[in-house]
Amino acid sequence: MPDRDLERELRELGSTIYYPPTPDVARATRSLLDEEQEDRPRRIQLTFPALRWAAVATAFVLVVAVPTLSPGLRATVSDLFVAQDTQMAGEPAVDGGSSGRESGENGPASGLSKGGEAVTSPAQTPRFAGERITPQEARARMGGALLLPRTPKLGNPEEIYATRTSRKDGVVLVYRQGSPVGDTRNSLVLTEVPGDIESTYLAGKTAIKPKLDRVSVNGRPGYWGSDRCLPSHMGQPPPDHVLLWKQSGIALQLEANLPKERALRIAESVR
Amino acid sequence: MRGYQEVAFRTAYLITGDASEAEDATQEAFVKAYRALGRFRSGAPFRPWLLAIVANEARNQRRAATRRSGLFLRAVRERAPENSPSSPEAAVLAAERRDELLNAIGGLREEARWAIACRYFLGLSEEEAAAILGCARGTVKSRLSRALGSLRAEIAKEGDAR
Repeated sequence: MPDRDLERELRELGSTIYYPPTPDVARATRSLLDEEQEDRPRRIQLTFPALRWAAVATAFVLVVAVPTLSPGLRATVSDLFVAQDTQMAGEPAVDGGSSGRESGENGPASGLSKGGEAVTSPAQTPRFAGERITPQEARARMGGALLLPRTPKLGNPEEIYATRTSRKDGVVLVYRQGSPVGDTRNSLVLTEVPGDIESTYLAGKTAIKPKLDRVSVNGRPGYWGSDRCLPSHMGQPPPDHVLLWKQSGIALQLEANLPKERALRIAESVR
Repeated sequence: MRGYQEVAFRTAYLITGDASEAEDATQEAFVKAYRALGRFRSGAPFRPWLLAIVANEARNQRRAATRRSGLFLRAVRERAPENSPSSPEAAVLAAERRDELLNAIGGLREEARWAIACRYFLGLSEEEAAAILGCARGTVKSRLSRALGSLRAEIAKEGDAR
């Protein structure tokens, strides 16, 4: 058979290939890049240590050096601080639940009361049924790779727990950066279990499914609804909303107190 | 990017064999390409450069999914041709011929299969195929020539066996 005929047959064979409809990747990329652009000013501020040092030096000069050298200014600044102290004393001290604090040992979260005494709030204790595992263990559990939200820039999850749903091993990724949800110290919880949404999260919950809204995550079907009707990994009180979708053979559940559009944008960035 | 997304997605789909992985790979590649635009040589053709990034991301996805290569052959079997022959007999014969060709392609080495996929299935130029395969244009030419020769031999072997 001449080359030309064989090539023609190969092209014909190529025309029989089924390709799924091309998703609008360009649009998704655009919105991802736009989000990064929005985050940039904050990141630049944090990225350049020189700027931070300059800020610290300026603050030092204004707060310490100038008042020390100038008695007049010293008196004025001193007055200001006294006034500030008086004002602050009237407000309750708040435990910010920062990510920098040692967290995730399921130990009680502590804060300071008005009088400076340590207090424990049971509501701030995250409740995760599974065993806490390392990122390496989590990756091994999920066949080598974890799906992570790329926007907003949350970085790596602060804690990872093993979970088991409908006889499948999965992982629970806990993010604490950003606004915490309710009284919990979690800002976002992403659960990943190999399988379908129905068998993983909705099995035996026939009454719940009609209450969920059907949504599309990058063209893939998903559900959006009140988390109070589904088991939550968030702790108490549970977040207002949950988003369920399937991606790369993994059933995902995103729990966060976020508006639908924002949750969908985070879900669409998961890779 | 919109003008390139179809060929990029299809390339990724042939490599990963999975629509959502192909989508992820394409998006990741677009983001990387955008960030690397400063390193892109002005005057050089953009499509091969972009497709090379897409192919690389798709291979990473496939590796992450610990999946074996050669999945595009499965994709080929999933659909009947658009211009199906009119008579049922001709359709059967055409389907047999496609299977025969497909089996012959399946018997080729992976590099030869990909050279064929790039040139005849995705309809890419030699330069684009070279970018995806990470080799020189001349290497694509020689791989294709060898692949066609091997295909002819395979088809003849199958014909003799009948």
